[in-house]
Amino acid sequence: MTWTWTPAAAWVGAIATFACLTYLWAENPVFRAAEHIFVGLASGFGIVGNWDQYIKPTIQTDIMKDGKFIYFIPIIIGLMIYLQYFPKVSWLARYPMSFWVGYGVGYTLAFQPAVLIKQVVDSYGSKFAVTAKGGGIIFTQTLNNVLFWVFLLTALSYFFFTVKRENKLVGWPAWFGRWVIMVGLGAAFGNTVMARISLFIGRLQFLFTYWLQIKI
Amino acid sequence: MRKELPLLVTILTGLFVIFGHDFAIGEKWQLINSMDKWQSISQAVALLIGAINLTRIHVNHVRRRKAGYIFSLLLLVCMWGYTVLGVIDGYKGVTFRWVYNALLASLDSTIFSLLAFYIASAAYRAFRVRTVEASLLLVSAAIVMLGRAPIGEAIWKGFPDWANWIMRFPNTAAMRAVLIGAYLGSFVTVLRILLGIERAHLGGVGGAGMK
Repeated sequence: MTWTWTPAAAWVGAIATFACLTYLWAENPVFRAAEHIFVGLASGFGIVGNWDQYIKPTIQTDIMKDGKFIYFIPIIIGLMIYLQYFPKVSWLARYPMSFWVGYGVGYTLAFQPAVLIKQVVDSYGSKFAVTAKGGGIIFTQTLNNVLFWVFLLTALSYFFFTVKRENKLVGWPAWFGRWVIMVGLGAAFGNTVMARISLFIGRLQFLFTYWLQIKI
Repeated sequence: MRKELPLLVTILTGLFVIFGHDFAIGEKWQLINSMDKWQSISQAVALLIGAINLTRIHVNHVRRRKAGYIFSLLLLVCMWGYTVLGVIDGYKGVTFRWVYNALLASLDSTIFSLLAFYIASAAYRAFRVRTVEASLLLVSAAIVMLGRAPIGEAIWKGFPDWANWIMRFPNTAAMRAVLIGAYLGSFVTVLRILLGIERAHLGGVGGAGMK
């Protein structure tokens, strides 16, 4: 479904945008109203999405149309969580939690190692980057591969607490690993700032293009 | 038994997910293939608990006329009004989507974009150069920010390349080290749960009557 900004929609969007931006001046009732409307609408959107994507198809298609009555069991499991509001039987609310945690445990042990092992194996592959014809070594790429390996090992050694840091074999790599982690975190921070600024530019573009109808 | 049986459910469900495929347990009902669906259906049914708790808190605010209760009223009207609209109009209904695109999406992106301003003041406090580590954080963040903006390239053509290098090598290596540590931590935790040592998920639910 395509979306077009009608004048009414643009006005609603612009008022919502300015209501949120008033927070830059100070905490105020207009921002608080916008904040509460946002939480309310987002919750409503989540409830409707949940109903439309999971509950409705399960009841309408799986159970009523296809006769898969076994799906009553997960529905009952989910409903049991509401028993926590009834003190006499609130202990029954532990069953759905047990099921979910059990599923999470099984999933983590059965499927997560594949992701982890692939990352570990890829990290310790050959460091030599060769040209397409296989004739020579690409020096910069090889140097980068070796550096990556050094960065990874030293960063890992920072989390290695079995041996005391006074031991030079662990102390120096851990000290360098701390620097690597700092560079990594700084880069992640810079990326986050840029993402937020992009969002802000997006809002300004909306205000100029669709609300004020000024072509940039 | 009120704690032991749920613990047994946790362990059996975990073992079933791990070994279900190997032993073809419940093949007649395609149990192992539908486990994902069981999980998502049961969680979808239970998700309303968040809305109920939010409603309880804000209904209490309104009933006791707490300061700013009018905002709580606004939240309740928006939440349940939008829910009713969605159920009647449908998830892809024209009015439901109009409210989403015009209002909810605008509020969402503006609130998140506000962080662009506050993150700058946070950066000032965090990055005041006092140690080598803080300097490294500052320099790498500055290079990445300049490398990702046109002004950076205008200042020096090398900024985008250096930003890419930092993202590809030190950043990936550091994040991978953190990720490997987190994976190992999660394996230890799930093993503790599977062996019945960790039982935190069985406690603290419900009121005083839950023993």
